[in-house]
Amino acid sequence: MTDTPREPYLLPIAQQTIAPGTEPYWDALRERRLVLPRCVTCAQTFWYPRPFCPRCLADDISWEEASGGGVLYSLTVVQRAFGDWNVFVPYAVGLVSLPEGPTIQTLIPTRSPVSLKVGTKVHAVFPRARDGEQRHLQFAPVEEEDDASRAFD
Amino acid sequence: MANDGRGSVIVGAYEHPARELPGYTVPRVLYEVTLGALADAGISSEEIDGFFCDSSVPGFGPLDMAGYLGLQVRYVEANEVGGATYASAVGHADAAIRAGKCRVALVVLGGLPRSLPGGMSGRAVEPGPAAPYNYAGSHPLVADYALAATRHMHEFGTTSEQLAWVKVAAAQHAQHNPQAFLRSLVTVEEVLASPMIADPLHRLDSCVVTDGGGALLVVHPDVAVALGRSGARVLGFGEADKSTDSGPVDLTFTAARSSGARAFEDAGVNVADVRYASLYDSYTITVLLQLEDLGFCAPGAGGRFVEDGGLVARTGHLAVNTDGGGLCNNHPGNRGGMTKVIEAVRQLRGEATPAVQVENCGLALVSAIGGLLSTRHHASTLILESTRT
Repeated sequence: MTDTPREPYLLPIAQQTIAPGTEPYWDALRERRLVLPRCVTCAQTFWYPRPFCPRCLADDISWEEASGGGVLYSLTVVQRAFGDWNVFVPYAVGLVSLPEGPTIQTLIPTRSPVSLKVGTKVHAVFPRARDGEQRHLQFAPVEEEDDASRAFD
Repeated sequence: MANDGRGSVIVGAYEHPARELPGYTVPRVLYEVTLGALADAGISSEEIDGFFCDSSVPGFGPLDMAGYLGLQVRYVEANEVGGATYASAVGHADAAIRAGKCRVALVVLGGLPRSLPGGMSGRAVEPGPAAPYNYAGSHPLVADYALAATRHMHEFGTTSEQLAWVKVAAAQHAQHNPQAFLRSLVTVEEVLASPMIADPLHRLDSCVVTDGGGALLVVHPDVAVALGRSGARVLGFGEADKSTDSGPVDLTFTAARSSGARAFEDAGVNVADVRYASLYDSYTITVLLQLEDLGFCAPGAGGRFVEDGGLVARTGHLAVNTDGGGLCNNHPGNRGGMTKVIEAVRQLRGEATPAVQVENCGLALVSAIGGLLSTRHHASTLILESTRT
């Protein structure tokens, strides 16, 4: 499978509805920072962002800066998709293990989806939504972090 | 509860014969499958006093559907665990019957993903709170399952060829099924040559998309005896969820590990006693994981178990999905659990197609998985015993 010749980093994520209480996560993304929700009561980081802890249901949440680093726990290269998305194939989806604990499913923007492997080191990047002011979270291979970030300006 | 021989009995099991139903509505499908199950059991609709459906039915759910069918019920449930719903409903119907809450429970599925506009089945669903974080709209469902396949290959060396054998075996069964959507034999090479959807899953690693559905009648053991129609007695049932939220994940097993353990304990039998298994086959990887999780083989050994015809009736290690499964026969409404139960009932009655009928099929297992393997899913496991004497 050849590398995609198209703009590899721009994938059409739609503007998402921000649930009340998750604003700190989304505000940080707009500033190109990743913060993760951590429960003050049971002292554990959880995913996905919610205004309460899914382990103990306490609602005292601290939003803590993450390193932005991660490792691919798994990945797949989508080669056939529906609607708008089919224009962007092949593109990669991955499960990223963070040192802070959570495993996050995201798109993995890269020039070479076929070069990705389990264990590839990745770093958070922050593309814009296609139709609004939001930024989203994706993870690109560490050696492509700068290129991807520039494409997301 | 311990296996006390007083489990409810599935005496009606009907699969809609069509795979494409242009011009149909979901309620119309439910009417036709209900008629079919009633005829199969020899029961009339006035006797139905329990009703089980999923959340995709139109209108106000089970109220509208039971009303449409003219039923007067004293126990009702709209369950929603994806394709596993109908296996889960059998377990719940058994519990309700044991508790004296009903005696004749109808479980239904109808879906029209091929024929309804936009390919949707039932009503539109508002995205859940996880949606913005799973990018679920950004990639096809198969990508979620592909993530599990990639990891399994990484940890255990499972190959694409081994996964392909799951489809090859299903096709060997489907060739004997006149209603199957896909009846042609396929080879491993043909599976690997089919278009890649989300690496490593090809088109032929994926289940078919069909219209149709099915219905079950689950009854009190005294009702079954009075009918004189053989069926499948519920010996054991277990269900479980598994989620990747909140921490490190392990995609190399599913919730079937827990639901299976609960079902076997409930039944008081062991995996070696199982003569036939219906294993949810949304994708080839799903089958392989369930084989490991239920104890048919060791963790990581699924690839070796399925290769070279391991799942083919009579010649393999275990007869699996002898109707051709979701991979070749039918996966109506994108929900495969109903047809899994139905084929198990056929096997236990000795009414499967002769070429695939397991000899002396006294004990069967149904395993169904609903949802997304890599984010959140549910598993239901049923252990069923033949009531043939």
